[in-house]
Amino acid sequence: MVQSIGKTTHLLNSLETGESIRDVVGPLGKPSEIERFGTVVVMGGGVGTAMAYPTAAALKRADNRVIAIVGARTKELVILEREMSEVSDELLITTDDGTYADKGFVTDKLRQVIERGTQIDLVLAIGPIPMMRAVADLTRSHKIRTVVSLNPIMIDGTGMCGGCRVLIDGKSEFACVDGPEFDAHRINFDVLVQRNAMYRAAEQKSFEDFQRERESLLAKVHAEQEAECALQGDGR
Amino acid sequence: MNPTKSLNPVPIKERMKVPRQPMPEQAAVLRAANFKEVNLGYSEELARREAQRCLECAKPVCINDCPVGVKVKEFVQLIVAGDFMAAAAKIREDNVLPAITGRVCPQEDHCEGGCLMGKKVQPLGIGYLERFVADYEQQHMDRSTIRKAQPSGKRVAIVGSGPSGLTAAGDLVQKGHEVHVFEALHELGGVLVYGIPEFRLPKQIIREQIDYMRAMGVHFETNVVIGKTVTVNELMEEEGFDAVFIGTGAGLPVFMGIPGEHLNGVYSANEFLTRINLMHAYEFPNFDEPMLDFRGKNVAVIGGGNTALDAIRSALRLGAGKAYVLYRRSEAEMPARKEEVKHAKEEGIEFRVLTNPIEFLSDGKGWLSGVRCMRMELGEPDASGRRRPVPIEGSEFEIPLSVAVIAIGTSANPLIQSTTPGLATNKRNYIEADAVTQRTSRKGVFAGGDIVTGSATVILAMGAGRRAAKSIHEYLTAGSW
Repeated sequence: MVQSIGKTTHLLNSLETGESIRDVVGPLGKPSEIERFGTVVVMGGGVGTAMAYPTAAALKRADNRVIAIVGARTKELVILEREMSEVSDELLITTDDGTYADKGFVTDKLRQVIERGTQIDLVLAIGPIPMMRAVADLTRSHKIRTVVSLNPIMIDGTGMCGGCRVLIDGKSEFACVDGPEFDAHRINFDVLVQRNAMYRAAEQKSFEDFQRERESLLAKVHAEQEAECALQGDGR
Repeated sequence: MNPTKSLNPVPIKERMKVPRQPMPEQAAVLRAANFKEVNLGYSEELARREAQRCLECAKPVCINDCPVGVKVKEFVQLIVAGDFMAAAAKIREDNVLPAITGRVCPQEDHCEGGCLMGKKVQPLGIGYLERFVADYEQQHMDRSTIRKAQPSGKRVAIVGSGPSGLTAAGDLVQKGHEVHVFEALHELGGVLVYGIPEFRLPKQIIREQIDYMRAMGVHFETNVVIGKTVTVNELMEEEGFDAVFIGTGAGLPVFMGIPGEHLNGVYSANEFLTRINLMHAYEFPNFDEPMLDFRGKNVAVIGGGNTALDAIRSALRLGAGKAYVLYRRSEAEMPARKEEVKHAKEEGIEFRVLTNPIEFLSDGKGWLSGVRCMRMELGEPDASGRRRPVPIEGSEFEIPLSVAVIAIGTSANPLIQSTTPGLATNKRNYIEADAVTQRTSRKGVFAGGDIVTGSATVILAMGAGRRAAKSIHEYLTAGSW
């Protein structure tokens, strides 16, 4: 699942059936820790729900009681509702603007679950940085173990460049090989936010150029795809 | 021709009087603003004149000093004779990447360092001659004439397409083994592609050398991270490889451990160079990978090796206002090739030696604004044999900076070691391999290059690849470990 945000995600979503991506590598990083924890709250914010879903399913299969909390900015962005309900014992949904389900944030729902006295053994939160940070702040005071999945800017994904370094308890770790999942209470979120903003100007320029030349760029991409298919058709 | 009979028209006694033929190069003011190659290469005329300087020693030292054993005297004699294709074939007997080593080898530490002439005048330009021959071959060869060896029925997996892997692959395919090279990135060449910039080693040259190897029968597969997407065990047990060579390079950047390393604008050299070279950031926005815009601003690299110079000279070409090399020892201890230091100075790079950064400074909003340094002096020699730099108390000073690149070396990437049971490593997590046979503790598994020795040079990695190929061939032929 890809949410169109900048140039690359728009390009990905413009691919048509039968078209391909030239280079894909993975899976990389450490696998999610799946075991019988007891009661696990799995939280997905926006497109983060797509990443939370397979882990929620695995946790359910590992015999956990899974409480799923799915949040989105608005109704159209609520995804995987049926799938999440199938792998959870309880599904809670929020939208920021109240256009679907309850108005509010995923942390409001988490707070309710905590306050009603549910014993939570683990929280897994995947979504925008402000959401993961808010979850970490909330669970810290309740001493609930919390894992979040980070996606700082990466180049190679093999630990070679160090661009995705995050500060964990004051020490550098690489999200590509040491992560992507980290203990939320040990992350320096300020540094994460600051480093993710490093190329904002260039990203904006790329996207503006893309929007201006959208039609010709997409035509070029599809033409390249056709050429690639023709090459493969030749058995090369 | 008979290599012992000299065709050299210049009498031996006259040869030392002929000056070393200078390498034609792009003017410094021009090249400092483009990514085109600095050195332009010898003409046939220059190459022959330079080759004629060779003293044709009865016991040449140059060959002993070459990690892959290129028969220098013989190929130089073939240049004198004007048979450039035969000279290329002679080099290829020992070196499958001549166009690359001719450009990036630190010849002063190897062949040219041993050259007898160097004791009195400038040594023979062996690197320049090698490059000439390799480029000549590229322009004049017909790849369809490359002969493939009789198949041996054995299969070898090479992990990594950098200098050691390519060399091992080239040597092994000539013995008839089926060779598959696996590369983690989407482009082939390893450090040659992501690390060394276009102005020192054009990508086209690497592509040509790899195409040559393809024509020899080597199979290449990109986007495969051995140790992650496929393990060494799977290669041997499920994919039917009889032997594996690990030549992954060191592959883990070393940071300094000083305050401020997380500020925006502080890069590892690997990231900085990968963005620029592999991902074409210097061609943004035609390519999507961005680089911080530091046109007119101050950029510094920390370190004194080839990587440091590659990084800072790239920064200059991207428009840096001031470009500094900060190095904690003196220029004499710099590990970089002498020619690169010379080129960098000509281009206007400022060398601040005996200078050691102790803190990166913030603008208060998370961006780098400068670096605090200490001046150093040289004390007693340390374990590396070089004089140890010692900080001078009270000598702290600051340099305003927008970008800092840390190029103080690399350490061992653990991906393969941590997923290959029984593979012995040393205390710094490099793979243990025999210095002669390159054998590891695992039967059928060999290793060489930076993942064994730590950061070194292209040619030393190639030497390891060559030794590994020899002992892999012996292992596959004899069948015993």
